[in-house]
Amino acid sequence: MISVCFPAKNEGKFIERNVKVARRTPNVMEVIVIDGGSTDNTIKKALKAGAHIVYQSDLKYPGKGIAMRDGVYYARGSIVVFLDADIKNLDSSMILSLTKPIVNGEADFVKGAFGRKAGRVTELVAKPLLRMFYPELTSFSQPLSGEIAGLKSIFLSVSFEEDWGVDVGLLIDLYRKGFKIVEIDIGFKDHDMKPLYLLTDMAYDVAKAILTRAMMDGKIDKISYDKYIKAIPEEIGEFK
Amino acid sequence: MRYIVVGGGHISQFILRTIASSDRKAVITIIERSQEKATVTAKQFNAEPLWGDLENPKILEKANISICDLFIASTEIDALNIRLCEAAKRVYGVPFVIGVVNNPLNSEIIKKAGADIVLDPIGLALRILELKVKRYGCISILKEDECGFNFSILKFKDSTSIVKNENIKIILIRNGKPAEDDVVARGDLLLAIGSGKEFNEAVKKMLKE
Ligand SMILES: Nc1nc2c(ncn2[C@@H]2O[C@H](COP(=O)(O)OP(=O)(O)OP(=O)(O)O)[C@@H](O)[C@H]2O)c(=O)[nH]1
Repeated sequence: MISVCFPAKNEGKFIERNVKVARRTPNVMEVIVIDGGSTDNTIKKALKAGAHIVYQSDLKYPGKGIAMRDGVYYARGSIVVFLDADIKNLDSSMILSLTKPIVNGEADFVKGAFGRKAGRVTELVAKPLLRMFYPELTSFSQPLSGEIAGLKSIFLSVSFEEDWGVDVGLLIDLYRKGFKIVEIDIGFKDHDMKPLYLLTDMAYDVAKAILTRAMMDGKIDKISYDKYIKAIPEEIGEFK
Repeated sequence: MRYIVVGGGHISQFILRTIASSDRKAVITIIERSQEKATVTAKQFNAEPLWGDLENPKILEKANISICDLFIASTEIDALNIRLCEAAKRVYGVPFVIGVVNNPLNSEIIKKAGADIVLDPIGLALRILELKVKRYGCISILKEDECGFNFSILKFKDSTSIVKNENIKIILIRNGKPAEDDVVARGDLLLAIGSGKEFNEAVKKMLKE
Protein backbone atom coordinates (compact mmCIF):
# COMPACT_ATOMS: atom_id res chain seq x y z
CA MET A 1 0.00 0.00 0.00
CA ILE A 2 1.10 3.50 -0.85
CA SER A 3 1.49 6.61 1.31
CA VAL A 4 1.78 9.84 -0.64
CA CYS A 5 3.66 12.65 1.13
CA PHE A 6 3.68 16.31 0.19
CA PRO A 7 6.28 18.44 1.94
CA ALA A 8 4.65 21.86 1.86
CA LYS A 9 5.37 25.39 2.86
CA ASN A 10 2.76 27.93 1.82
CA GLU A 11 1.26 25.93 -1.02
CA GLY A 12 -2.38 26.95 -0.51
CA LYS A 13 -2.81 27.47 -4.23
CA PHE A 14 -2.38 23.87 -5.37
CA ILE A 15 -2.47 21.65 -2.31
CA GLU A 16 -6.19 20.93 -2.32
CA ARG A 17 -6.21 19.76 -5.89
CA ASN A 18 -3.04 17.72 -5.49
CA VAL A 19 -4.22 15.96 -2.33
CA LYS A 20 -7.47 15.06 -4.09
CA VAL A 21 -5.64 13.66 -7.10
CA ALA A 22 -3.37 11.58 -4.85
CA ARG A 23 -6.31 10.32 -2.80
CA ARG A 24 -8.18 9.00 -5.77
CA THR A 25 -5.17 7.14 -7.15
CA PRO A 26 -5.53 3.35 -6.85
CA ASN A 27 -3.67 1.72 -3.92
CA VAL A 28 -3.02 5.04 -2.21
CA MET A 29 -4.02 4.41 1.40
CA GLU A 30 -3.24 7.85 2.78
CA VAL A 31 -2.05 11.29 1.82
CA ILE A 32 0.18 13.14 4.26
CA VAL A 33 1.05 16.81 4.16
CA ILE A 34 4.14 17.65 6.18
CA ASP A 35 3.91 21.32 6.87
CA GLY A 36 6.96 23.52 7.21
CA GLY A 37 5.23 26.36 9.05
CA SER A 38 2.83 27.62 6.43
CA THR A 39 1.21 30.94 7.17
CA ASP A 40 -1.31 30.77 4.35
CA ASN A 41 -4.32 28.45 4.04
CA THR A 42 -2.29 25.31 3.16
CA ILE A 43 -3.43 23.37 6.24
CA LYS A 44 -7.07 24.28 5.86
CA LYS A 45 -7.12 23.30 2.21
CA ALA A 46 -5.18 20.08 2.79
CA LEU A 47 -7.55 19.02 5.58
CA LYS A 48 -10.53 19.86 3.42
CA ALA A 49 -9.17 17.58 0.72
CA GLY A 50 -8.75 14.76 3.22
CA ALA A 51 -5.02 14.78 3.94
CA HIS A 52 -3.42 13.86 7.24
CA ILE A 53 -1.35 16.72 8.57
CA VAL A 54 1.83 16.55 10.56
CA TYR A 55 4.15 19.44 11.26
CA GLN A 56 7.86 19.09 10.64
CA SER A 57 9.68 18.64 13.95
CA ASP A 58 12.09 21.47 13.40
CA LEU A 59 10.75 24.58 11.73
CA LYS A 60 13.84 25.75 9.94
CA TYR A 61 14.00 26.79 6.32
CA PRO A 62 14.99 25.23 4.05
CA GLY A 63 13.63 22.17 5.77
CA LYS A 64 12.36 20.04 2.94
CA GLY A 65 14.61 17.20 4.10
CA ILE A 66 13.30 17.38 7.65
CA ALA A 67 9.77 17.25 6.27
CA MET A 68 10.60 14.22 4.11
CA ARG A 69 12.20 12.35 7.00
CA ASP A 70 9.19 13.07 9.21
CA GLY A 71 6.90 11.94 6.42
CA VAL A 72 8.63 8.56 6.30
CA TYR A 73 8.11 8.06 10.02
CA TYR A 74 4.48 9.11 9.81
CA ALA A 75 3.63 6.97 6.80
CA ARG A 76 1.93 3.61 7.29
CA GLY A 77 2.30 2.34 3.75
CA SER A 78 5.09 0.01 2.67
CA ILE A 79 5.73 2.30 -0.31
CA VAL A 80 6.24 6.02 0.24
CA VAL A 81 5.87 8.55 -2.56
CA PHE A 82 7.08 12.14 -2.30
CA LEU A 83 5.69 14.83 -4.55
CA ASP A 84 6.28 18.56 -4.62
CA ALA A 85 3.07 20.28 -3.61
CA ASP A 86 3.37 22.99 -6.24
CA ILE A 87 2.82 20.80 -9.29
CA LYS A 88 0.03 22.36 -11.32
CA ASN A 89 -0.76 19.37 -13.49
CA LEU A 90 -0.45 16.39 -11.14
CA ASP A 91 -2.44 13.37 -12.21
CA SER A 92 -2.79 9.82 -10.95
CA SER A 93 -0.69 8.42 -13.76
CA MET A 94 2.40 10.18 -12.35
CA ILE A 95 1.94 8.39 -9.03
CA LEU A 96 1.26 5.09 -10.73
CA SER A 97 4.35 5.43 -12.95
CA LEU A 98 6.50 6.19 -9.91
CA THR A 99 5.30 3.18 -7.96
CA LYS A 100 4.94 0.60 -10.72
CA PRO A 101 8.59 -0.56 -10.79
CA ILE A 102 8.47 -1.05 -7.01
CA VAL A 103 5.17 -2.92 -7.08
CA ASN A 104 6.61 -5.13 -9.84
CA GLY A 105 9.73 -5.81 -7.81
CA GLU A 106 11.98 -4.14 -10.38
CA ALA A 107 13.17 -1.31 -8.15
CA ASP A 108 13.50 -0.28 -4.49
CA PHE A 109 13.74 3.41 -5.32
CA VAL A 110 12.31 5.35 -8.25
CA LYS A 111 13.33 8.83 -9.36
CA GLY A 112 10.77 10.70 -11.41
CA ALA A 113 11.97 12.72 -14.38
CA PHE A 114 9.72 15.21 -16.09
CA GLY A 115 9.70 17.36 -19.17
CA ARG A 116 12.75 17.89 -21.35
CA LYS A 117 14.21 20.78 -19.39
CA ALA A 118 15.89 19.99 -16.09
CA GLY A 119 16.43 22.78 -13.57
CA ARG A 120 19.30 25.21 -13.43
CA VAL A 121 20.81 23.83 -10.23
CA THR A 122 20.61 20.37 -11.75
CA GLU A 123 22.50 21.29 -14.91
CA LEU A 124 25.01 23.70 -13.41
CA VAL A 125 25.78 22.12 -10.04
CA ALA A 126 24.46 18.62 -9.50
CA LYS A 127 25.40 17.07 -12.81
CA PRO A 128 28.98 18.39 -13.01
CA LEU A 129 29.69 17.34 -9.42
CA LEU A 130 28.13 13.93 -9.93
CA ARG A 131 30.19 13.51 -13.07
CA MET A 132 33.35 14.17 -11.04
CA PHE A 133 32.57 12.07 -7.99
CA TYR A 134 29.80 9.64 -8.90
CA PRO A 135 30.03 9.05 -12.66
CA GLU A 136 27.82 5.99 -12.16
CA LEU A 137 24.95 8.38 -11.48
CA THR A 138 25.33 10.59 -14.54
CA SER A 139 22.73 8.53 -16.34
CA PHE A 140 20.05 10.17 -14.19
CA SER A 141 18.61 13.06 -16.15
CA GLN A 142 17.09 14.67 -13.06
CA PRO A 143 19.00 13.75 -9.94
CA LEU A 144 17.30 16.54 -7.95
CA SER A 145 13.71 15.76 -8.75
CA GLY A 146 11.40 15.81 -5.76
CA GLU A 147 9.05 13.29 -7.31
CA ILE A 148 10.27 9.98 -5.94
CA ALA A 149 8.98 6.68 -4.60
CA GLY A 150 10.63 4.02 -2.49
CA LEU A 151 10.09 1.22 -0.07
CA LYS A 152 9.60 2.70 3.38
CA SER A 153 12.25 0.31 4.73
CA ILE A 154 14.99 1.73 2.50
CA PHE A 155 14.18 5.31 3.49
CA LEU A 156 14.49 4.23 7.13
CA SER A 157 17.95 2.86 6.43
CA VAL A 158 19.52 6.22 5.54
CA SER A 159 19.80 9.66 7.15
CA PHE A 160 18.14 12.58 5.43
CA GLU A 161 19.85 15.88 4.71
CA GLU A 162 17.69 18.57 6.27
CA ASP A 163 17.84 21.08 3.44
CA TRP A 164 17.83 21.15 -0.36
CA GLY A 165 20.57 18.52 -0.35
CA VAL A 166 18.02 15.87 0.55
CA ASP A 167 17.14 14.59 -2.92
CA VAL A 168 20.66 14.17 -4.26
CA GLY A 169 21.77 12.86 -0.85
CA LEU A 170 19.11 10.14 -0.95
CA LEU A 171 20.09 9.20 -4.49
CA ILE A 172 23.76 8.76 -3.59
CA ASP A 173 23.12 7.06 -0.24
CA LEU A 174 20.60 4.58 -1.63
CA TYR A 175 22.89 3.89 -4.58
CA ARG A 176 25.83 3.27 -2.22
CA LYS A 177 23.73 0.87 -0.16
CA GLY A 178 23.15 -1.18 -3.27
CA PHE A 179 19.42 -0.65 -3.66
CA LYS A 180 17.87 -1.01 -7.09
CA ILE A 181 17.20 2.45 -8.51
CA VAL A 182 15.45 3.39 -11.73
CA GLU A 183 14.50 6.71 -13.30
CA ILE A 184 11.08 6.94 -14.87
CA ASP A 185 9.68 9.61 -17.14
CA ILE A 186 6.54 10.95 -15.51
CA GLY A 187 5.65 13.44 -18.22
CA PHE A 188 5.67 17.21 -18.18
CA LYS A 189 5.66 18.97 -14.81
CA ASP A 190 4.15 22.40 -14.72
CA HIS A 191 5.22 24.51 -11.75
CA ASP A 192 6.48 27.98 -10.86
CA MET A 193 10.23 28.35 -10.96
CA LYS A 194 12.30 30.23 -8.44
CA PRO A 195 14.07 33.38 -9.61
CA LEU A 196 17.80 32.92 -10.19
CA TYR A 197 18.89 34.87 -7.10
CA LEU A 198 17.03 32.41 -4.87
CA LEU A 199 19.03 29.50 -6.22
CA THR A 200 22.36 30.22 -4.53
CA ASP A 201 21.42 28.57 -1.23
CA MET A 202 19.86 25.65 -3.04
CA ALA A 203 22.97 25.18 -5.17
CA TYR A 204 25.11 25.40 -2.04
CA ASP A 205 23.11 22.71 -0.23
CA VAL A 206 23.24 20.42 -3.25
CA ALA A 207 27.00 20.91 -3.67
CA LYS A 208 27.55 20.32 0.05
CA ALA A 209 25.53 17.09 0.01
CA ILE A 210 27.57 15.70 -2.89
CA LEU A 211 30.97 16.86 -1.61
CA THR A 212 30.31 15.54 1.90
CA ARG A 213 29.60 12.10 0.48
CA ALA A 214 32.66 12.31 -1.77
CA MET A 215 34.72 13.03 1.34
CA MET A 216 33.15 10.15 3.25
CA ASP A 217 34.04 7.89 0.33
CA GLY A 218 37.64 9.08 0.35
CA LYS A 219 37.31 10.91 -2.97
CA ILE A 220 38.25 14.23 -1.37
CA ASP A 221 40.74 14.17 1.46
CA LYS A 222 39.27 15.10 4.81
CA ILE A 223 41.81 17.79 5.58
CA SER A 224 40.95 19.85 2.49
CA TYR A 225 37.30 19.19 3.05
CA ASP A 226 37.48 20.45 6.63
CA LYS A 227 39.53 23.41 5.51
CA TYR A 228 37.50 24.53 2.51
CA ILE A 229 34.00 23.25 3.02
CA LYS A 230 33.01 24.85 6.24
CA ALA A 231 29.58 23.40 6.91
CA ILE A 232 29.90 19.76 7.82
CA PRO A 233 26.71 17.93 8.62
CA GLU A 234 26.88 15.86 11.79
CA GLU A 235 26.00 12.58 10.24
CA ILE A 236 25.16 11.38 6.78
CA GLY A 237 24.86 7.73 7.54
CA GLU A 238 27.08 4.78 6.91
CA PHE A 239 27.98 3.68 3.45
CA LYS A 240 28.01 0.03 2.58
CA MET B 1 7.26 1.75 38.50
CA ARG B 2 8.48 0.50 35.15
CA TYR B 3 9.42 3.14 32.61
CA ILE B 4 10.34 3.06 28.95
CA VAL B 5 11.96 6.14 27.45
CA VAL B 6 12.47 6.21 23.68
CA GLY B 7 15.12 8.65 22.47
CA GLY B 8 18.35 9.69 24.12
CA GLY B 9 18.54 13.35 23.10
CA HIS B 10 18.39 16.60 24.99
CA ILE B 11 14.82 16.40 26.28
CA SER B 12 15.17 12.71 27.23
CA GLN B 13 18.16 13.54 29.42
CA PHE B 14 16.02 15.83 31.53
CA ILE B 15 13.13 13.41 31.60
CA LEU B 16 15.47 10.68 32.82
CA ARG B 17 16.90 12.92 35.52
CA THR B 18 13.40 13.68 36.73
CA ILE B 19 12.40 10.01 36.85
CA ALA B 20 15.62 8.90 38.51
CA SER B 21 15.41 11.55 41.20
CA SER B 22 11.70 11.23 41.94
CA ASP B 23 11.31 7.44 41.90
CA ARG B 24 14.14 5.62 43.65
CA LYS B 25 12.72 2.23 42.69
CA ALA B 26 12.32 3.12 39.03
CA VAL B 27 13.02 0.33 36.54
CA ILE B 28 13.97 2.21 33.40
CA THR B 29 14.58 0.99 29.85
CA ILE B 30 16.13 3.40 27.38
CA ILE B 31 15.61 2.77 23.69
CA GLU B 32 17.89 4.56 21.24
CA ARG B 33 18.89 4.22 17.63
CA SER B 34 22.58 4.23 18.46
CA GLN B 35 24.13 1.59 20.66
CA GLU B 36 26.66 4.03 22.07
CA LYS B 37 24.05 6.59 23.07
CA ALA B 38 21.81 3.92 24.59
CA THR B 39 24.63 2.40 26.61
CA VAL B 40 26.14 5.64 27.87
CA THR B 41 22.78 7.15 28.77
CA ALA B 42 21.57 3.97 30.47
CA LYS B 43 24.69 3.81 32.61
CA GLN B 44 24.10 7.35 33.82
CA PHE B 45 20.63 6.53 35.07
CA ASN B 46 21.09 2.92 36.09
CA ALA B 47 18.80 1.85 33.28
CA GLU B 48 18.60 -0.98 30.78
CA PRO B 49 19.82 0.01 27.28
CA LEU B 50 18.21 -1.19 24.06
CA TRP B 51 19.09 -0.07 20.55
CA GLY B 52 17.85 -0.58 17.04
CA ASP B 53 15.15 0.41 14.62
CA LEU B 54 12.71 2.54 16.61
CA GLU B 55 10.07 2.01 13.95
CA ASN B 56 9.95 -1.68 14.59
CA PRO B 57 7.42 -2.77 17.25
CA LYS B 58 9.70 -5.69 18.11
CA ILE B 59 11.99 -3.39 20.01
CA LEU B 60 9.09 -2.26 22.19
CA GLU B 61 8.30 -5.89 22.95
CA LYS B 62 11.91 -6.53 23.81
CA ALA B 63 11.57 -3.70 26.31
CA ASN B 64 8.62 -5.54 27.90
CA ILE B 65 6.16 -2.84 27.01
CA SER B 66 3.21 -4.98 28.07
CA ILE B 67 4.18 -4.55 31.75
CA CYS B 68 5.32 -0.95 31.44
CA ASP B 69 3.59 1.63 33.68
CA LEU B 70 4.82 4.79 32.02
CA PHE B 71 5.96 5.16 28.43
CA ILE B 72 7.68 8.27 27.12
CA ALA B 73 8.34 9.00 23.45
CA SER B 74 10.89 11.79 23.34
CA THR B 75 12.89 11.51 20.12
CA GLU B 76 13.66 14.57 18.03
CA ILE B 77 11.22 13.35 15.36
CA ASP B 78 7.64 14.31 16.20
CA ALA B 79 6.14 11.97 13.61
CA LEU B 80 7.94 9.07 15.27
CA ASN B 81 6.83 10.15 18.74
CA ILE B 82 3.26 10.24 17.48
CA ARG B 83 3.49 6.70 16.09
CA LEU B 84 5.22 5.45 19.27
CA CYS B 85 2.52 6.90 21.53
CA GLU B 86 -0.12 5.38 19.32
CA ALA B 87 1.46 1.93 19.59
CA ALA B 88 2.04 2.23 23.35
CA LYS B 89 -1.56 3.21 24.00
CA ARG B 90 -3.60 1.46 21.35
CA VAL B 91 -1.60 -1.73 20.76
CA TYR B 92 0.00 -2.37 24.13
CA GLY B 93 -2.41 -0.52 26.44
CA VAL B 94 0.27 1.21 28.52
CA PRO B 95 -1.61 2.97 31.36
CA PHE B 96 0.36 6.18 31.13
CA VAL B 97 1.76 7.50 27.86
CA ILE B 98 3.72 10.73 27.55
CA GLY B 99 4.59 12.24 24.16
CA VAL B 100 7.09 14.99 23.51
CA VAL B 101 6.50 17.44 20.70
CA ASN B 102 9.38 19.51 19.39
CA ASN B 103 6.92 21.53 17.32
CA PRO B 104 3.96 22.80 19.38
CA LEU B 105 1.70 22.44 16.36
CA ASN B 106 1.86 18.65 16.79
CA SER B 107 0.40 18.81 20.29
CA GLU B 108 -3.20 17.97 19.34
CA ILE B 109 -2.09 15.27 16.90
CA ILE B 110 -0.05 13.38 19.46
CA LYS B 111 -2.81 13.64 22.01
CA LYS B 112 -5.31 12.16 19.58
CA ALA B 113 -2.85 9.40 18.71
CA GLY B 114 -2.70 8.21 22.32
CA ALA B 115 -0.59 10.43 24.55
CA ASP B 116 -2.21 11.00 27.94
CA ILE B 117 0.12 13.89 28.59
CA VAL B 118 1.85 16.06 26.04
CA LEU B 119 5.23 17.55 26.88
CA ASP B 120 5.42 20.65 24.77
CA PRO B 121 8.31 22.77 26.03
CA ILE B 122 8.12 25.43 23.33
CA GLY B 123 4.35 25.67 23.54
CA LEU B 124 4.55 26.20 27.29
CA ALA B 125 7.22 28.86 26.99
CA LEU B 126 5.15 30.61 24.32
CA ARG B 127 2.17 30.77 26.58
CA ILE B 128 4.27 32.53 29.18
CA LEU B 129 5.41 34.93 26.49
CA GLU B 130 1.77 35.43 25.55
CA LEU B 131 1.06 36.43 29.13
CA LYS B 132 3.52 39.30 28.77
CA VAL B 133 2.28 40.37 25.36
CA LYS B 134 -1.48 39.91 25.49
CA ARG B 135 -3.46 42.74 27.00
CA TYR B 136 -6.60 40.72 27.70
CA GLY B 137 -7.99 37.25 27.16
CA CYS B 138 -7.28 33.79 28.51
CA ILE B 139 -3.75 32.43 28.65
CA SER B 140 -3.48 28.77 29.54
CA ILE B 141 -0.30 28.13 31.46
CA LEU B 142 -1.00 24.43 31.88
CA LYS B 143 -3.57 22.55 29.84
CA GLU B 144 -5.69 19.61 30.88
CA ASP B 145 -3.93 17.30 28.41
CA GLU B 146 -0.58 18.22 29.88
CA CYS B 147 -1.20 17.62 33.57
CA GLY B 148 -4.81 16.65 34.13
CA PHE B 149 -6.13 20.12 34.96
CA ASN B 150 -6.15 23.59 33.51
CA PHE B 151 -4.29 26.48 34.98
CA SER B 152 -5.16 29.67 33.19
CA ILE B 153 -4.59 33.35 33.69
CA LEU B 154 -7.34 35.69 32.62
CA LYS B 155 -6.80 39.34 31.85
CA PHE B 156 -9.76 41.65 31.56
CA LYS B 157 -10.58 44.64 29.46
CA ASP B 158 -13.88 45.42 31.22
CA SER B 159 -15.31 44.67 34.61
CA THR B 160 -17.12 41.33 34.91
CA SER B 161 -18.65 39.17 37.64
CA ILE B 162 -16.55 36.22 38.70
CA VAL B 163 -18.22 32.92 37.83
CA LYS B 164 -18.07 30.25 40.49
CA ASN B 165 -18.76 26.54 40.17
CA GLU B 166 -17.47 23.24 41.53
CA ASN B 167 -14.94 22.74 38.78
CA ILE B 168 -13.14 26.05 39.00
CA LYS B 169 -11.06 27.67 41.74
CA ILE B 170 -10.23 31.30 41.30
CA ILE B 171 -7.76 33.72 42.83
CA LEU B 172 -8.16 37.39 42.05
CA ILE B 173 -4.98 39.46 41.69
CA ARG B 174 -5.34 43.21 41.96
CA ASN B 175 -2.31 45.50 41.82
CA GLY B 176 -0.03 42.50 42.12
CA LYS B 177 -1.67 41.16 45.29
CA PRO B 178 -4.39 38.61 46.04
CA ALA B 179 -7.69 40.38 46.63
CA GLU B 180 -11.29 39.53 47.57
CA ASP B 181 -14.12 40.64 45.30
CA ASP B 182 -17.01 39.20 43.31
CA VAL B 183 -16.27 41.47 40.38
CA VAL B 184 -13.09 42.00 38.38
CA ALA B 185 -12.04 45.45 37.28
CA ARG B 186 -9.99 46.51 34.28
CA GLY B 187 -6.35 45.49 34.77
CA ASP B 188 -7.18 42.68 37.24
CA LEU B 189 -5.83 39.18 36.75
CA LEU B 190 -7.63 35.98 37.62
CA LEU B 191 -5.77 32.76 38.24
CA ALA B 192 -8.18 29.96 37.39
CA ILE B 193 -7.59 26.30 38.16
CA GLY B 194 -9.94 23.49 37.25
CA SER B 195 -11.00 20.90 34.76
CA GLY B 196 -13.70 19.74 32.40
CA LYS B 197 -16.42 21.45 30.44
CA GLU B 198 -17.59 23.58 33.36
CA PHE B 199 -14.15 25.11 33.63
CA ASN B 200 -14.12 26.11 29.99
CA GLU B 201 -17.67 27.44 30.17
CA ALA B 202 -16.90 29.56 33.21
CA VAL B 203 -13.85 31.04 31.48
CA LYS B 204 -15.84 31.79 28.33
CA LYS B 205 -18.60 33.42 30.32
CA MET B 206 -16.23 35.72 32.18
CA LEU B 207 -14.50 36.71 28.96
CA LYS B 208 -17.92 37.19 27.34
CA GLU B 209 -16.95 35.00 24.41
N1 LIG C 1 7.66 21.14 4.88
C1 LIG C 1 8.44 21.89 4.10
N2 LIG C 1 8.26 21.90 2.78
C2 LIG C 1 9.09 22.65 2.02
C3 LIG C 1 10.11 23.43 2.57
N3 LIG C 1 10.73 24.06 1.57
C4 LIG C 1 10.11 23.69 0.44
N4 LIG C 1 9.12 22.84 0.71
C5 LIG C 1 8.22 22.17 -0.24
O1 LIG C 1 9.01 21.35 -1.07
C6 LIG C 1 8.50 21.33 -2.38
C7 LIG C 1 9.54 21.79 -3.38
O2 LIG C 1 9.88 23.12 -3.09
P1 LIG C 1 10.08 24.24 -4.20
O3 LIG C 1 10.34 25.52 -3.52
O4 LIG C 1 8.98 24.20 -5.18
O5 LIG C 1 11.44 23.75 -4.83
P2 LIG C 1 11.75 23.22 -6.25
O6 LIG C 1 10.55 22.53 -6.82
O7 LIG C 1 12.98 22.43 -6.14
O8 LIG C 1 12.08 24.58 -6.95
P3 LIG C 1 11.28 25.33 -8.11
O9 LIG C 1 11.98 25.01 -9.35
O10 LIG C 1 11.35 26.76 -7.77
O11 LIG C 1 9.86 24.81 -8.02
C8 LIG C 1 7.26 22.21 -2.36
O12 LIG C 1 6.13 21.41 -2.12
C9 LIG C 1 7.51 23.11 -1.17
O13 LIG C 1 6.33 23.61 -0.59
C10 LIG C 1 10.28 23.42 3.99
O14 LIG C 1 11.13 24.08 4.58
N5 LIG C 1 9.42 22.63 4.70
